[in-house]
Amino acid sequence: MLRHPIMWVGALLSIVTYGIFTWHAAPVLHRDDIFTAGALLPLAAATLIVANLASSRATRNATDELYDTTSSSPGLRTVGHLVSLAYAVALALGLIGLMFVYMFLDRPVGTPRVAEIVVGPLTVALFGTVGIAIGRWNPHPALGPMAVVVAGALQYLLLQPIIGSNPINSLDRDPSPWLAPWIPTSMTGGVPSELVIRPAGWHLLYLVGLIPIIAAFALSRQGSRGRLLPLFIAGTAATIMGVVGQFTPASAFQRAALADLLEHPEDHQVCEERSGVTYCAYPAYVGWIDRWAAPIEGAMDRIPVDERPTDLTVRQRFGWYFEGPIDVPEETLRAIERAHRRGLQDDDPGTTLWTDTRWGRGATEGGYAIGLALAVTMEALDFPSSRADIRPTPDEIALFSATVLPTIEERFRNKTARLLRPGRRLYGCHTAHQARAMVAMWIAGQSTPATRAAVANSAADSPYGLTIYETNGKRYATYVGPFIPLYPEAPPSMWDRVSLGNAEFHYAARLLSRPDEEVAAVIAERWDEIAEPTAITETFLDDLGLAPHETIEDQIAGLPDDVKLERGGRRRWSVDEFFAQTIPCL
Amino acid sequence: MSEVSVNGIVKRFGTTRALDEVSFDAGAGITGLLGPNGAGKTTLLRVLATVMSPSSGEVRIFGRNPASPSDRLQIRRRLGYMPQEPGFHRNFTVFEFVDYVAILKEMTDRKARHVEVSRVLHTVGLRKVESRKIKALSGGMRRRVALAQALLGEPELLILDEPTAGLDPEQRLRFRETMSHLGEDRAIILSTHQTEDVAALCPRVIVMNHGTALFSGSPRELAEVARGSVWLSSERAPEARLSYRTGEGRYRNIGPAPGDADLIDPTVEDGYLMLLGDEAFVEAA
Repeated sequence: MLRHPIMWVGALLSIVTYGIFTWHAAPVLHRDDIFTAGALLPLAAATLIVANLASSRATRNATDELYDTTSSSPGLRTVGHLVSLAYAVALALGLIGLMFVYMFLDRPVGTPRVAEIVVGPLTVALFGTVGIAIGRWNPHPALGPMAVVVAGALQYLLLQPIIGSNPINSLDRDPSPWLAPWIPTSMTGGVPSELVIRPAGWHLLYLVGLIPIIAAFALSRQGSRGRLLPLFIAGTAATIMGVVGQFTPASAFQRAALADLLEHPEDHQVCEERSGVTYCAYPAYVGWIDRWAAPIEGAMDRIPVDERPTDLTVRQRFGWYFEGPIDVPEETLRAIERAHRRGLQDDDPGTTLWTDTRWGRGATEGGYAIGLALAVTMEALDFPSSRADIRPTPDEIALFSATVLPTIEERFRNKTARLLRPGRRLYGCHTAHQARAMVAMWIAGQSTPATRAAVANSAADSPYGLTIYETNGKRYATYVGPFIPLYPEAPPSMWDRVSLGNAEFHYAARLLSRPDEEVAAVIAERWDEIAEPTAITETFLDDLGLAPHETIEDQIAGLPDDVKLERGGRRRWSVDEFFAQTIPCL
Repeated sequence: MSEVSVNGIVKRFGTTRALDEVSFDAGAGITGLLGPNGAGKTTLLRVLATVMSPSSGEVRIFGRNPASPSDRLQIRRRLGYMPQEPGFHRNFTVFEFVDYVAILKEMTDRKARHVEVSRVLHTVGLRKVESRKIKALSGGMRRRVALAQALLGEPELLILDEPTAGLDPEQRLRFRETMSHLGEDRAIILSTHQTEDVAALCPRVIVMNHGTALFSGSPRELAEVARGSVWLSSERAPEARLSYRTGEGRYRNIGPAPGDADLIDPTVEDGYLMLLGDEAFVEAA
């Protein structure tokens, strides 16, 4: 069976699929174990086709008559085909081994669950059994591939309730997806598996039950149906029990436990202190404290000692909130979610930075790391800690009107000025032209090699003021305004509450190519000036050894030949919207 | 006790009686089955190979009844069968195919099985091409592959359906050599269109037509059926049932004596033709 090239194509696709699922995420074994079954679906499909070809080969090649005169009866030969699925299952287990090797290469956390891991090999066995049954009843070679298409369609249709909607909530109301061989926590993969009540054991029983049912169907082709009855009954009983178990709603105890996990993380977490910072993680994620500490310590080292945030706690929360089978009132959930999105806890005595159950891997790790480093630096530079802080006072408005407002294009100046009413709570604020934004991003960017690479890559991909993208093999450039280009990898603090200026981001990126110690010396010397919201970026460029950015027009003129400016030329609408809806951070 | 005992078996396909009250016994040695196309030879061999069961009558192989599942299993363990049109898995190599059949014959010890596969391939002269894919073989070579698998495990009963069809003269001679050796200590039942094979190999021949056994005896006895009816003459005899010019320039006539003719000893072929009567002569002409 393993000699058939289709099997190896399936195995290769399984490896690729697993890579796609996990390439950008730091390994979490109790989440990524679920992906193993999904990744093995290509191998399962290959097994179905190959098992089907093998079981129908004797009929297709007219060797049945010869084989019938051997001591191996047709029924025994069917059993032989079924037993040969052990090779495919062994291959599946081998691939799972490779998947875990890949995960163990990058400091995984959590503990894989046997019930989730076994689903993949069982699906391979199940699909193989289906292939054999079809081959025994009808030897047409097209039926195997057709069965794969049908199985794929069934898998897709059964997962419909969790596509494009709240996954857990949907599963609670409609458990039909559990009839599919593989059920992800969500179609986006972003839901922490801790918040998902998965009847994995019952699902296993369901799959285990299906195999003897289909095997009995395959064997019944050669008669002896009476002898197959116990096999069929046992399979049916297991399947029914599995379905009932899968469809049983989560218990009150399970729901309450999840609610407590969500509402009171501090009761469930392990805390460690390092260099004056307390890190609190759910027990499974203690291994990530090293990942969190690196950018924070790298940033702290560049902040003058007196200015470093004190009583700092980095606390893990779940980055995904939904009602689902969790006994938490909707309003409470939304409040927790909003607080999390701000990245800071409002009511802690000290300063609490939040991180969640996701972390990047490889090229994406820097995007996550820079969020923590930036949060620390922004605390030190006194950026607004919460949306409640974004309520301009009359003095601040006067100051802003005298300094920043004149720099805004005239046609939007009046619109922005109208937003500036004392005490008005705004959605967020921006730091365009503020030197402290440039410094915050430099400190965050230099904190680890990964953050440095993340900034450099983002700056290279999108030059100042321009976003370059590719469509149908052609590259285009669009002028998008002052947002920083790290989104969507950037953590909440970089695209919610405080919008960091694109120009400052690119100055910070250029600073990263200058000697760190020289830059750090200038920043340390002029820290008090820089920390002022009214300190304009351009004021410090000479001291930092930077020239002003090229104008957008010059950049467009200098674009490579293969990059075309998007039809319509410079798009300023995003700038308009931006300035019309927010105010500078003061 | 004969290895094979057939008593009055009938096999019907719808309204057609493919076998009609056939009876014979076959022991150690080679038994040849002769008959025109559609005579029932293949049906008889398939019944003996336990591929199909007779509609009525009694078959005993090694004293066992193939209608009984446990007896059938015991028979199959001692049986080698080469179908008339054996199918092959074209992408298998010669060795793989024979090895696969060996697995189906319960040869579970891999090492011993491979030794046995090599042995039978050597017997049929295919060792040199054992790693070649079956789809790359000639028709004659494929028939030798089919013969090789039948020889696996040194079966006590070999049933071969037209084993020499498609073989070139040298291969046929080698086949005879192999069969004569194997036939010393086991029962072999083979069907063939080649009367020379029967004359050369079989101490016993059964002639079939329309599902019935017309004759059962030695090749010499079969030839004797035509005694007095085979003549050599200088001209074609118009009243002869079959007349053809030989390489020596004289006509060999089967039938009433023509004028100026020499009566000669009949062959198995002559006896066969005489036995089948006009039907055989029409076919032969």
